[in-house]
Amino acid sequence: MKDQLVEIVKGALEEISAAKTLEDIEGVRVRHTGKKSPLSVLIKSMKERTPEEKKELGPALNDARTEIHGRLEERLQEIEEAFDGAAEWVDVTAPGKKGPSGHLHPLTIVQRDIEDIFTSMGFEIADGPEVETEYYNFDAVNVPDNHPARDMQDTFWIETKSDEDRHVLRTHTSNVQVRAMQEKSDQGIKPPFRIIVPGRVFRQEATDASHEHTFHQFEALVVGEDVSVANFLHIAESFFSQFFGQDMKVRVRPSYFPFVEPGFEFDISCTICGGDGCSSCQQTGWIEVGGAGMVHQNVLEAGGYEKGVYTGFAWGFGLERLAMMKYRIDDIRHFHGGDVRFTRQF
Amino acid sequence: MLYSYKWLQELSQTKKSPKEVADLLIAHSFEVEDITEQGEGLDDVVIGHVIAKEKHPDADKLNVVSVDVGEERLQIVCGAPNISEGQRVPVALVGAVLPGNFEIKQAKIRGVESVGMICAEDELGLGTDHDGIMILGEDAPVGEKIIDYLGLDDTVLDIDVLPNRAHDALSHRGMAREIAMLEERVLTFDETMPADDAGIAVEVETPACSRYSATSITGVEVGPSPLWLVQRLKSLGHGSYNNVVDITNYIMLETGQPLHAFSADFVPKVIVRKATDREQMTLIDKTEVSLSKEDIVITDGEKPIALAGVMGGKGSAITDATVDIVLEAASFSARAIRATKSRHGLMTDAAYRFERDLDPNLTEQAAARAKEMIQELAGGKVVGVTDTYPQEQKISPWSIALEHASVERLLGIEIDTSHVRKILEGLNINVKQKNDVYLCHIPTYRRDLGNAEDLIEEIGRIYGYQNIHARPLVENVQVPQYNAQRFFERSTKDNFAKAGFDEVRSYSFYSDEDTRKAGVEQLEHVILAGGGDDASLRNMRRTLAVGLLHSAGRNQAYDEQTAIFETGRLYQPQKESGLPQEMLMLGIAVTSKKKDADQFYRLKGALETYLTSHGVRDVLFAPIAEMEEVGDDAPHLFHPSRRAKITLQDGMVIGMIGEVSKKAAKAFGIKNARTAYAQIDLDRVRKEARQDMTYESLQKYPSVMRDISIKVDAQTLVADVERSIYAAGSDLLVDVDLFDLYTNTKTAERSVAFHLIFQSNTSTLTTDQIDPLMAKIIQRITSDGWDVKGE
Repeated sequence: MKDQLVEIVKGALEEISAAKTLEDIEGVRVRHTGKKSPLSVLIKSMKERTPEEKKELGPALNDARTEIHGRLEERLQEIEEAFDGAAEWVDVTAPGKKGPSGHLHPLTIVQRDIEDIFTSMGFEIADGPEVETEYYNFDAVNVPDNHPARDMQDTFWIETKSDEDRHVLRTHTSNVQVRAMQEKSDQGIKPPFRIIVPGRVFRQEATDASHEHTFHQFEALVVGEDVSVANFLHIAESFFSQFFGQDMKVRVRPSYFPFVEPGFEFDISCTICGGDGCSSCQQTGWIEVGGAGMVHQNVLEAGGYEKGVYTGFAWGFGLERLAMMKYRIDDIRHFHGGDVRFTRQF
Repeated sequence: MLYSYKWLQELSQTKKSPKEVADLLIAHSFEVEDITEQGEGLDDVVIGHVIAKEKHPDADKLNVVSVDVGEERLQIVCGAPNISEGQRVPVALVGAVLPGNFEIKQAKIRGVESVGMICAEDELGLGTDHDGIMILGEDAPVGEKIIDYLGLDDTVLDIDVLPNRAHDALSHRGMAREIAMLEERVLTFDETMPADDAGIAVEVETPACSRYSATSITGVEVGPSPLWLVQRLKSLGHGSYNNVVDITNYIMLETGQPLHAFSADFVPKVIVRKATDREQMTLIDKTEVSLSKEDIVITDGEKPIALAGVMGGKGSAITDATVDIVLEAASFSARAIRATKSRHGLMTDAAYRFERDLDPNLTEQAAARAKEMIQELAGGKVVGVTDTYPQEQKISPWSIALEHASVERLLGIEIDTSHVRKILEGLNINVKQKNDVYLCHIPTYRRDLGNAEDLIEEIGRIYGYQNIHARPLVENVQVPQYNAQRFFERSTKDNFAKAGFDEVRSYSFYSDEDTRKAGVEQLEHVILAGGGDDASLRNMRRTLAVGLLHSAGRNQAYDEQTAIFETGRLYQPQKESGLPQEMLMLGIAVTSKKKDADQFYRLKGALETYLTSHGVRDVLFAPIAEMEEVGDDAPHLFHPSRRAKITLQDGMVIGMIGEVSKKAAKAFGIKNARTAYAQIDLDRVRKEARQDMTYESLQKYPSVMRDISIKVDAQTLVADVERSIYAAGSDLLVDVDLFDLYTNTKTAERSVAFHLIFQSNTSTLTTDQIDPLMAKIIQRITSDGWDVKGE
């Protein structure tokens, strides 16, 4: 009896060790632990044995069954965890499978950077119409009809059927200055406030690598009780330093824009040479960026604030110009050219 | 305006170099656009005398000339048609490097040795004339450097004077005054020209002429100007006509006051009046103008002899025969001159100055300077001066009160009162200080200084903006208002970029042709950008399709498949007056050479994912019927049986989607590819976007899935079948999910297959619960006229 049991166990363990696949293991399991397996037959036959025999054989049978089950389980794990290095080799240098990925337009990226920086400085983002009345584009910002200042911007006028209010494609985002202030003053909101206006503007001029009839401007307006030129310098330096990720200096030079007094052009230290002078900045160390100034009292008055009470500064510059500086783009026409090879670089 | 450095130096006594003067002006006053050294590249150009001329043996159009250049004779091959013996001409010697980096080398031209070059004006950078070589005066000294002979030792500064400073700085005197001021000297110009009884009669009938002075000069010898005058005018962009006319231009450049000289024979008296409607006159440049009653004319009592402030008339012009002249120094209304200039398209130097509002007090110094110069250069004698300057037109210095505190407040600096006074007095402003208030008397040539801020600007720029240091704002920060539209647009862009679409931007306008291509009709409502004759700038866009399809066509060359989007405004004209409505739209397009309707479904899928993730649920896509008007013209762009309007439950249309018709695709240059296009109104979507989600407890009981396959007729809508299934499926049917769609191209029958998902939140569903539901669904499908497969 005992010898028979030893044979059964030995045979089973040999087959288990020889099993290579999950199917092999399953076959072994059926043959050696199934209802008709020699072990099961032997266990069944126990009923007919004497109590002495049962006492003697019982534990041995149990041990045999435990050993076979244990080995089966062990072998099963071995097989499941086994792998063939050569067959399953993967070329880790082959390119990965890419998911869909589209690209944002560089102007979108630059505009977001600007919006985020200014928002973090407590500015709100305002919008206004692109087709604008003559009043908000010109008169409200102190550019009266029949004034030579109107010649400073080549304007697209809208064809009208009658002598109704004349409309223009806004020549600057400054049209939103008075709109935004009126909205506030109508609700009884007093300065201080800080506003930015990014948006599309139009000038009727011939296009070439550095001129476009359609471009984007970015306007900032700060009004309060004691806002000064020195404050403008601070906000401008803070912004440009953040935007370019390096310490930037801002320089202002006298200029004239009817909506500000004093008015100036402002330059930033050259982003290429840091101000030492190089070919990008024509050896001056400075790059011309935009126009700025202290908001004209006539403009504040048009916005609903009594003259002489508040002061403020306004500034504006071209988004395209900033994007061109940041990404070294050499032709402004790419921005509205609709070529995806351009967009995909960003 | 162009300024002569030498002239500015004479007037201002500056010791600075041209570059230093420019730097000073840039820092404190004006933009200096350009600095040009006159004689640059002309060091080795000398005056030559043409001794002999022979035909080139081998070339019809060339001559071989012998030129005496002083120390030697040179043989030069010359192609100019106007060369002849005896002429004095500019000769560039071998080794000279002319403007434009053009080096002169010894060369053989068609076999004949040529040593040097005889130059045309443009080759010397002295003008644009290239019709022939430049011929110099007969007395030009042979061998002398052209630089010395022409007085080209000057530097020209191109200084950008903006409208605020045009009153005082569009002249050499004004600019010299500015330079001297920055060097802390005060320059004043105060020549007078007292009137007498001997001048001609002048009547001013319109207040648009604030001052009119007429100086009668007799015995003038009209002739060519001296070379220095010709050259100075030329270097500043003015031609030379005769000594009298040249003097008027010179005085304008010196003082800023335009002058006009009439031939006295034609000017018995002067009446300044408004023109009458359609009154005709011939200008000095022979143009005929038909005047309007808004124009101001100078008349001889009857007919116009000059269009005031803009241009003289032909009949009364100075000629070689003129002996007696009347010299006008006058002042006119800026608005009137600007209107006249624009109306007749006459951009003259005089009009440019008058429309910038000149100081009427300027006429006297200009007239006095002109008198001096005419006497000196043309030998005339003043016999009478008339000056009409009515009391009510007189401009005298005005006062502005300036508080010291406001200077410090606006500039953000601390500055001594003595420093402020010094700056103001440097501007020739008379200052009386009372405590901390300056009472300022402004000289009349500074018409731009009208209020305290104007004076603070002067203080700021002269103090030096470089001396103002950045200071943080100390104002309270208000919580900024959130710009919902802007951030929704941002999120929309992110969505499509992540989904594989590239962002493009296109212009806000397009041509009539594009309008037709895109099938956008109702042209009468389109707003036109006036002025330009560029057809592509004509119509304000009413669809984003034009830009996107142009882009799709362009990108086909590089791309198997293009997926692009744009967000931007459309302009919807109002029926009545008022600004157009500007609508923020999203346009998306997919073009691919893959056949069939894949593009439509790709686009639809992208749109559905976007809408769902932005909290817009229950959006319907409904086919657009043949003649249906849906409030937008885009359907004309689409394939008639592959287009849908996108609506909300309440029927509000939020957009369109469809496959672009073959005709339209071809028109936009898209070949052998299918293109799908969709456009939605972002403001409408944003207003529908629900971000107010609430948590639902997680399902404890498993769902059960059953499949159903249904045979339907051609053009039966999946949406209709789904609706039937839901209607029969009770609350336990939680989802119906299409997983197969097949069209038998022979029979046009379609088979659609769905996963039906059943779930209860109170128990695990059993077959006994689901079987009756399936039976009801099958019954409903059958009664709707469709066949359930396997039943």
